[in-house]
Amino acid sequence: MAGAGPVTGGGEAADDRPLPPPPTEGVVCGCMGTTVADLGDAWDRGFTELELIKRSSQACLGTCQGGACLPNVRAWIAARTSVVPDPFTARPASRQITLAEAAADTYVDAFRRTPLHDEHLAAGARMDRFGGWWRPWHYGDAVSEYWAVREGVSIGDVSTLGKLVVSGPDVVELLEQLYPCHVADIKPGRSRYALLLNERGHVMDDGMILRDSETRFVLSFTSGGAANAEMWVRDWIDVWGLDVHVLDRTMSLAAINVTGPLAATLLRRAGLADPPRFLGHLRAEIAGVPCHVMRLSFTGEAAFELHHPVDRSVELWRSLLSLGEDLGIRPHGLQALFGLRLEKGHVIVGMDTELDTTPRRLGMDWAVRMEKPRFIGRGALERTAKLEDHRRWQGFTMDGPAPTEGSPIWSEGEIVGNVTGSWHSPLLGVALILGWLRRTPFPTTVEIDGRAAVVTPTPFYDPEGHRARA
Amino acid sequence: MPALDRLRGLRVVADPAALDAATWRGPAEVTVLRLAPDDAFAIGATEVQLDDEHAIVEPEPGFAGAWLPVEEVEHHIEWSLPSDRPALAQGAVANVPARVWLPDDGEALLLTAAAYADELASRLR
Repeated sequence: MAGAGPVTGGGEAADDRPLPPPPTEGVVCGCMGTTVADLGDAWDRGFTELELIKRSSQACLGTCQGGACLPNVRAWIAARTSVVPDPFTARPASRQITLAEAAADTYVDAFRRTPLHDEHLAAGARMDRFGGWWRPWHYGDAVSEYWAVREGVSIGDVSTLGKLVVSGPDVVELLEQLYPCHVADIKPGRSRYALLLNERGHVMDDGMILRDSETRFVLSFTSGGAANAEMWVRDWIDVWGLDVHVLDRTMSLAAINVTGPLAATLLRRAGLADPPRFLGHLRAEIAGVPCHVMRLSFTGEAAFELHHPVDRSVELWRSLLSLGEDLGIRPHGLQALFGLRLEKGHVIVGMDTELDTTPRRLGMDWAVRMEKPRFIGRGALERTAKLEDHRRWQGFTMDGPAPTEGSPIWSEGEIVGNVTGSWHSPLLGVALILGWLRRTPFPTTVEIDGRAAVVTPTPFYDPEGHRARA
Repeated sequence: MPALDRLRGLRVVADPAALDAATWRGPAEVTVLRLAPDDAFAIGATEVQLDDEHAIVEPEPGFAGAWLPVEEVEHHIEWSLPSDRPALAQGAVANVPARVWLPDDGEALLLTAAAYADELASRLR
């Protein structure tokens, strides 16, 4: 329809009908069982827009997708604000699965298990789904797990990280165009942290670039982003017509993160006489298991990722626990890991980021080398760099318990952002928060969960990074 | 439903022509599954000779599989297996990403990433 204007609804069904009287008690959403009191709770917690109330209270999220209850919810909001909120996009009623289908279990997404799944269960782990995998959330005491990392040595299962091998005569050209950092100057045996951007300059994923030889690299990605990253790499090889082979090793190699000030001591006991220095990597046998040893740090302490064949993982895990027994070794789960990373202000792409997050908004311009003539996203970053930005991912500190992740951030009576990560630091004794500010001028003090919070530079812990390099 | 056992072999990504001409060796029978034109999983292989200096050759411990009657596999898929033999089919089995190797003896090797093995086995019980 050349020349046609925007599509508009027509007919009786598209008429904006009068809203019913605002509900004052009882159930508002029959599908989800949401009551007027639930709406009030959501409102009191700062969720004062239709989309936020919907997500917070679950109203309109059931089978009818708001077909029956949306007018009631809009009327309830209108009664409080004197403004009738626009309805959200109409969707057809969803279909709930039958009990028979649920029993057959084939309509449920399959979640992957690492080779250490049974070891985690035997150690009393509470397992949770994360990034398409079952992962240990904690082993009963996340704070003790945290201290094991900060003061001794701990191991964590990071088998879920994406792992890609790329090899070929054009591999440097591929990676130079794919990543916003320099790649050609990475020497074999060394590695570099990198963001992965799309054409709009938005952060898609992050990980490490590890060079094996002149024409072979290993790339790592986040657990949840690995599958997309692989497709992304393959697509661009095709588009640019490059001669590069790709092998996804995500489910063939497991990985154990050995971290803490005594990590190198443990690895020496396991047979690694000369552990790599920071951002170095090498191949070696650890406790008799062939490993790709990578020295990096997400926890803020010295850390070595041991990538190894999945069929040797249990053997390696048990050996490390045994060799580190007198060092007080204990495994750590995701809860401790998230707290540790939060103290360092490390971003978790997908959890802290939004679909249009740029390096500048994250405060990560240092990861982008604009002097490079070409990389995906460069043009967009160059254009938007001239514009004032209205969003910033920031650190905050406050007294008392950590607020709930997702909490609104307030300033002068308005919601100006939200919390993406929070943790009460056992070491620093305050609540540490990472979150977004979306109003300029950016405030220096805000209110979260009814309490004052102060904008604080990150990293909160060891800002010079001495401990990770020790 | 028999247990899904770990499959071991070599995984090779190389130029398709080099893979076509590759020579595989192992202590027993080698079964080469061509997962893509440039990607092969050779079950039972411990060595390969091929003409591609940039080939990626790695031991592959990441698959688990079991031999089943073809009819039993068909019971758990919502797509049609190829009628040609031998054939390699790839798709969802009981809604789990999997592959089916079909030689010409009425049996099928159902294989999936080891990370999915427990989930798939529980759905086929």
